Formats: sequence, C-alpha cells, structure tokens
Amino acid sequence: MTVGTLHTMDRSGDTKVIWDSDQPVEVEAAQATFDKLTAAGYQAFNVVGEDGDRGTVMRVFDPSAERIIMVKQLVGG
Amino acid sequence: MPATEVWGYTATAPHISTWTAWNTDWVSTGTLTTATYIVVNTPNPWAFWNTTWTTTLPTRDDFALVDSRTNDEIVNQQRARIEAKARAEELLRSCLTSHQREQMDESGCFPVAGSDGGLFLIYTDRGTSGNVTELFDEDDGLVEIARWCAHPPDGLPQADIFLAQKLALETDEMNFRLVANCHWSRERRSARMPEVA
Repeated sequence: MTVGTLHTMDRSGDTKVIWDSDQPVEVEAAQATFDKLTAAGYQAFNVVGEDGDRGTVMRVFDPSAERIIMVKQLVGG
Repeated sequence: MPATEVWGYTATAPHISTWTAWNTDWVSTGTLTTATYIVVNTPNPWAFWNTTWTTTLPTRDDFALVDSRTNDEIVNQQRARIEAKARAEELLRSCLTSHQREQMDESGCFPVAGSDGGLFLIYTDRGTSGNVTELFDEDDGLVEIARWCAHPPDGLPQADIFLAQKLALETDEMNFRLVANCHWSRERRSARMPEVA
C-alpha cells in the first residue's frame, strides 16, 4: 500500500489531495485532479523522499508516487 | 411619482419637473420697428431642483457596522495570509536537503544544482524578482555572473515561488533559462555564501 499526496500550489500555500493506492476511488479522484490541473497548464513534479532529493517531471499520473507537486508554468518576471 | 435614489439620497423625480419646465412658456412679448423679437419667459426651472430630496445618509451606527465588518475582513485576510505562508514554508523545507535548509536559515539563500550543470543560489530574503543568482567557479572562488527572474503567476506565497524555482532548475534548467529574464552582472561580485555543496 502506498499513500500518495498531491500538493497543488495556490494562494493558500498548497492544497493536498491524499490517496491510498489500494483504493481505486481515491486513485481515480487523484488522477482526475492531476489531469485537470495539467490540462490547465500546471506542471507536475514527482518528489521522492523527505530530504530534498532531486525531483523529476511527471507527465502521466503514477498512483505509486509518494509526493507530487503541481506548479503553474513559470513566467519571466 | 417613482422615487429615485442616487448616492444615498432619495428624491421623487424632481429632475422631471425641472426638465419639463425647461424650454416651455416661450412668449413673444414685443416688437421693434425693424424686427420682431422674442423674449424667453421661462419660469425658473431650478426652482424644482432639489426641492423634494430627502436624506438617507448613513448614521453613526451604520458606519460602526461597516467598520466592524471591514475589521473582521482584514483580520480574516491576515490570518489566511499567515496560514498560507506557514504552509508554503513547510512544503519548501520538506523539499530541501538538510544542507540547503541550514544555508537558508544562516545565509538567506540556498544552493541549487541545475539539471544541465549550472550552479545557482535562490535567495529567500530579497523578494521574488531576480532572486535566482547564477554562479561561476573562477580561480579565486565563486562569483555571481547573472540574476534570473521567473516565477509562477497568481501571487503565490513566497516560499512556494522559491520551491517552484528550485524544481524548475533541477528538472529542466534550459527551459528555465528560456523562460526567465536575465540580468547579466557587469562586475563579477563575490557570492554571499562561500560554501556551495
């Protein structure tokens, strides 16, 4: 069993969606959020571990991921 | 007549009486030997103006009620902002290595190794514009060669922006360079942090 967390950066800091990989309903809800946000221009980063290991860009939702951070595409400042 | 309310005042449409009086009662009152002339004998239309206005200005209690609501809104907004800041900082810290966390606490910036070999410092104490500094390793130590400016839109808490910059540099440094605005340093300055792991 894997418990995954999807963090979406927003004005409240971040909004979390948590799922249990053994629960199809929760996985489906997390995937729907992932798909909706990526369609809206968010970029997904798969972050492994709790000590700042280098993340990877995630293009397709992976239910076994531990942490996914959704960020809107950067723009030049 | 229907009442009209404008800016807190109520009137029974006196303006209609005013404009009705306007341009009426034109009377020819005299002649000259060479021409006929007309004298405008209009009753004062302004006599109707403002005659039936009744005030509905807010009372002191009304102001007090608005003030209390405004204060509540301000307090709620401040509380939400503080909570958002704390949540974003927690997320940022959870994505940093222990070395990066120490450097951020001590120096107000943390080092990031880009995916294409670039070396960067993300400053956390100078706002979010141009807060990403690129370093170059010269013979006499690390020097700052450029400042990069890129961040997500939508007014996120600052810690979220720092994390977004870190993730972007670590996963796709070239894309970060393409998106960001660059300010090349004219004089190469020594980086604030002497030790970059």
